[in-house]
Parts: sequence; C-alpha cells; structure tokens
Amino acid sequence: MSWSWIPRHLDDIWDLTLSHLWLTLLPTLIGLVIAVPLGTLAAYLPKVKQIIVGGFGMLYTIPSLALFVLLPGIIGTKILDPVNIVVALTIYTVALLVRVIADGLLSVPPVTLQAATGMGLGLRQRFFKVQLPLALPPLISGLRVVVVSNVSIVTVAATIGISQLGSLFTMGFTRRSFIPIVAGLGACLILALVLDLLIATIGRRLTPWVRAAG
Amino acid sequence: MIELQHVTKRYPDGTEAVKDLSFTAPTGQITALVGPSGCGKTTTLRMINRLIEPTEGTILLDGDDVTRQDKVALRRRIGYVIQSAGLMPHKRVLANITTVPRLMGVKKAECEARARELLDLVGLDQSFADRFPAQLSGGQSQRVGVARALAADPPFMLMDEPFSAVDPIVRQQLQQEFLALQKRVAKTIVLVTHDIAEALLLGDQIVVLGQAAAIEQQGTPYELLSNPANEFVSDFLGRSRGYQALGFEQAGDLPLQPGPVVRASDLGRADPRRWTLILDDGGRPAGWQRGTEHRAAIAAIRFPAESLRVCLDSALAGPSGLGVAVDADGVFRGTFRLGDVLAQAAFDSQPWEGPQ
Ligand SMILES: Nc1ncnc2c1ncn2[C@@H]1O[C@H](COP(=O)(O)OP(=O)(O)OP(=O)(O)O)[C@@H](O)[C@H]1O
Ligand SMILES: [Mg+2]
Repeated sequence: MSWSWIPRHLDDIWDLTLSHLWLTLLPTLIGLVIAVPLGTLAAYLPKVKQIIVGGFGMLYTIPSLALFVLLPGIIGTKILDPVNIVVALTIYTVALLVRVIADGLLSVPPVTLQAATGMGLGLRQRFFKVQLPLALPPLISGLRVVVVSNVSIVTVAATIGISQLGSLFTMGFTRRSFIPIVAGLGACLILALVLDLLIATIGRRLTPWVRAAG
Repeated sequence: MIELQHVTKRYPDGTEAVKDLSFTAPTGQITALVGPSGCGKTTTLRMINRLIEPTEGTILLDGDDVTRQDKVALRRRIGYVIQSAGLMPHKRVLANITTVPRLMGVKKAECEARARELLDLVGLDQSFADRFPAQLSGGQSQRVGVARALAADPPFMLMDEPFSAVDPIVRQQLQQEFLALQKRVAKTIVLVTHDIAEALLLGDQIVVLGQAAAIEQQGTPYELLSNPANEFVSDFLGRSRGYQALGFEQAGDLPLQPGPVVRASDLGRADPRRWTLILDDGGRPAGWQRGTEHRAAIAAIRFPAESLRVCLDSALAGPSGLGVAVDADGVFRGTFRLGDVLAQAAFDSQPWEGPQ
C-alpha cells in the first residue's frame, strides 16, 4: 500500500468523516440538553448534586469499550447498533457537563443575583436572563473539552464494527499498513480542531462581555 | 410614603437584627438611615422590598401592606441601588438600564430613548451606552446603577450605601448631583449609610439607629446637630471625621444669599410664616422674627469666616438653619444655609463606622 492510497480513497475517508461527525455531535447535543436541567437541579440541591455528580462520575470511569459491549444487554439494542455509541457518549457528555453547569451556575456572584431579584426579576427570568448567561463561559469551555474527547472516543467503536474514522485504524492493523492509520489520525485531528474552533467562535459571539473585561 | 410599624426581624440563627422599629419616610423626601455597622440598616431596607421577610410588624407603601402584594410587582415599583451598583456584567449599559421596563412590556425603542435621557440625567456621556460594566469606573457604574433604578420611573427608591465604594472626591460629586437629581424627580427615598456626613448632607430626615435598629434620634439635620437627643447621637455626630473636618476648611467660597431679611422700619412687610432677619438702621442684624415670635440671638460671623466650624455654629444658632454673615463693621452681608456648610464639610469627610 502506497501513499497514493489516500487520494484514491478520499471519497471513502469523507464518508467516514461524516459518520464520525454525527456520531460525535448527536450525543454531544443530546448530552447538553440533558445536562442543563440536571446541572441546574444539582446547583440548587446540594444532596442531588452529590448523587448526580457522583453517579455520573462513576459511569465515566467505565472504559468506553466495556460500555459499548455492555449497553446492548442493558438497553436491548443489537451489538452493532450505532445507538449504543450514541448512548454511551451521551452518558460521558452528561457526566462531564453536569458538573460544569452546576459549578458555573454557582459561580455567579450572589450580589448580582440579589440585585436582579431586587430589581423585580422573577425566579425564571432571573435564571434565563442572568444566571444561565453568566454560566456560559465555563459551559463553553466544558463543551470544547467534551467535543474533542468525544471525537477520540468514537474511534473505539470501530472495534465493534461501526464504521467511522476509527475503521481506518482497524483497516491499518489488518492490512499491516500505517497509511490508513495516518489518514484516520489526520482526519480525526482536523475534525476535532474544526469542531473546537467552531464552538469557541460561537462561544465568543455569545459572550461578548468576557472580552470586554480583558 | 413608606411606613414601618413595629417591625422586628429575627434571623433563623436567633440574631435579632431589627427590634420593634417604627418610622415613616415621607413622600418625595430622602430619609437617611444611619448607624454603626451591623445595626440592622440593610436588613431594614431589604424588608421594604421583601428581599427579607419581617418576623413581626407591618410595612406599608402608600398605605398598602407590602406582604399583600406580589413580590415581583412590588419590586418594580421600588428602585433599588446598592453598593458597587450590582450591574449585570453580561449586559451593556443601555440593556442594564432598560431591563425592568423591558420586562414590563415597554417597547424597545421607547425604553432606549428613555435610557438615553437617563444617561444625560445622571451625567454620563452617550458613548457609555454600549459599554459593558467591566469597562466602567466605580463612579460611572454607580451612575448607571442610579439610572437603572429610575428607568421604570418608580415612586420609591431604596439605596444601600450607594456612594461608599468610590473615592471621596467622586463621592462628593455624586452626592451633589444626586441631590440636584432628586430635586427634579422627587422620589420617596430611604437611603442607608454609616457615614453621618452623608446622612446630614442628603437626608431631609435622618433616623439614627443603635443596636438592633433601636431609634436613638429622628429628625432633620438641623434638629440633630442643634439638639442631639443623647450621648450616642452626639458621639456619633462629634466623632465623625466629617464633623471634625468642619474646623479645618476655609469658608471663603460658601455661597451667600441676600435674604430673607427686612429693615426694622419695614417689619410689617415680613412674611409672618417664615423666620426673617431684622436689620437695624445701620444695616446690622438685630434679631429673627416670625409673626409675633422674636429671637434676639444671632451669632453672626464675620465673612470670610475663619473656619467652617464657626459657620456651622452660626447656622445652628439661627431658628431656621440659616447662618448670618457680616462684614468687619458688623453690617449684614448675607445668609448661608446649613446644607451648604455640610456640603462643604462632606467633601473632606471619610466614612466612619460610628461608636461600637
Ligand atoms: N442571614 C443572616 N443570618 C443571621 N444574621 C444575620 C444575617 N444577615 C445579617 N445578620 C446579622 O444581622 C445584623 C444586622 O445586619 P445588617 O446587614 O442589617 O447590618 P448593617 O447595619 O447593614 O451593617 P453594615 O453597615 O455593616 O452594612 C448583624 O449583626 C448581622 O450579623
Ligand atoms: Mg449594610
């Protein structure tokens, strides 16, 4: 196998990249949607926080391959079903973000919250218009970490036969060539960088006050 | 009008922060609550807008019990200004100011036009409209805080040490501007401070609080200074840097007014409801007259005076808080207000925690 293998298989690499992309983004988004209410709950109820953060923290320590293999038994999917990957990565995402969101919400200065209440903002208005926006900067940093780590964890799914960029690694092993491995690695890196940059850019747009303070 | 009737606040840990406090803050006036640190001033203020619920007693806003009103609606009728402003860090100045009117459904364009007027009113250039709070100085933040509190045009304002986070020069400027502003907007204001000079300068009425918000004395600045009710009050007044500073400052630029004054021969022309200074044929002050009441004591001082302290004594000796200035021959030059003496003195004062 020679280097020309890469240009000849650009179409295949592109397809693998796309499936990698959605296997990464879907659980990240679902995880975010679940983590916001859970993190809010955790921020307001310290006991619940211990349970949620502790529980998800434990789930996070389960190796991803083990989770991919165990999940079908628990949720009744087929072993080759990509849903397994999505569910597993959603769990990791929630585990990371719940804590970030809870801490972010709690880091909003009490003076600011009290001023908002004193002005006549209701509890819901105060949450959505003051507390949540002010928790955005840590949430965005957390999201960047999650996306990059999800890009790399997805590759493990190749070992249970779900095709994405990780499949290039297994192909490299079976054909005893490092060329597909290099291609997969490069594509993963670029994907992670692009996603990270995208979130960082959107984040900067959403939080203009952060730069103003600098 | 804001009325507190036998209000008590016991915190869950048993601390009795406020005990059986009653006072009335009259409509359109500034009532200054002053007292040492920890005496319950902030607690008192926050019970008015229900950030804290009283344990006992009643608080009335224009006669309506605050506990019978929706908290959020209540707070929108009460402007709230706190130390270091409490601005929303993620919102630009204009958005900070328009927050409450926007929540109340006023159109955006209308809110912003009003906010720009308010910027003028509090003495901020329009270029500040698009800044974030982190890009403002302490004094500028405080101005935005005042503008924000006024945005929904609430009839009431609560101010908790609004000017204490800025340096003395900026503070004096803000205080003066705030007084001028209040002349125009005439809100019913309760202002908390532990700086007696600030209370004397800003308060139409002063409530001096001791431990657990026990009222030591209540009255106008003139009443407090001329007749302190007890040792606690005189101590609080006397040991304040603001009062001591009265002895140092030259009085040269104290503004003089031509009246109210009348020649003895024209006594019939004097307004019988108002204390008026009577001058003898040589133009020298001869006494104060109001209707049939007469005071011979004048305590006129030679102008320019050697110190603000003698100006203060002169103003306090008069029956209406006016001091009398004469020239080297004892001829009347003008009167000056207690408020102006205090304003001058406040410039040099440092906040002081009061007797502990
Ligand atoms: N949440 C609370 N629980 C228990 N005690 C409290 C609480 N808040 C305030 N206190 C106590 O109540 C008393 C009055 O407090 P408050 O904040 O009203 O004082 P203050 O007059 O505003 O003081 P300062 O001038 O220092 O701001 C203090 O002794 C304080 O320690
Ligand atoms: Mg206080």
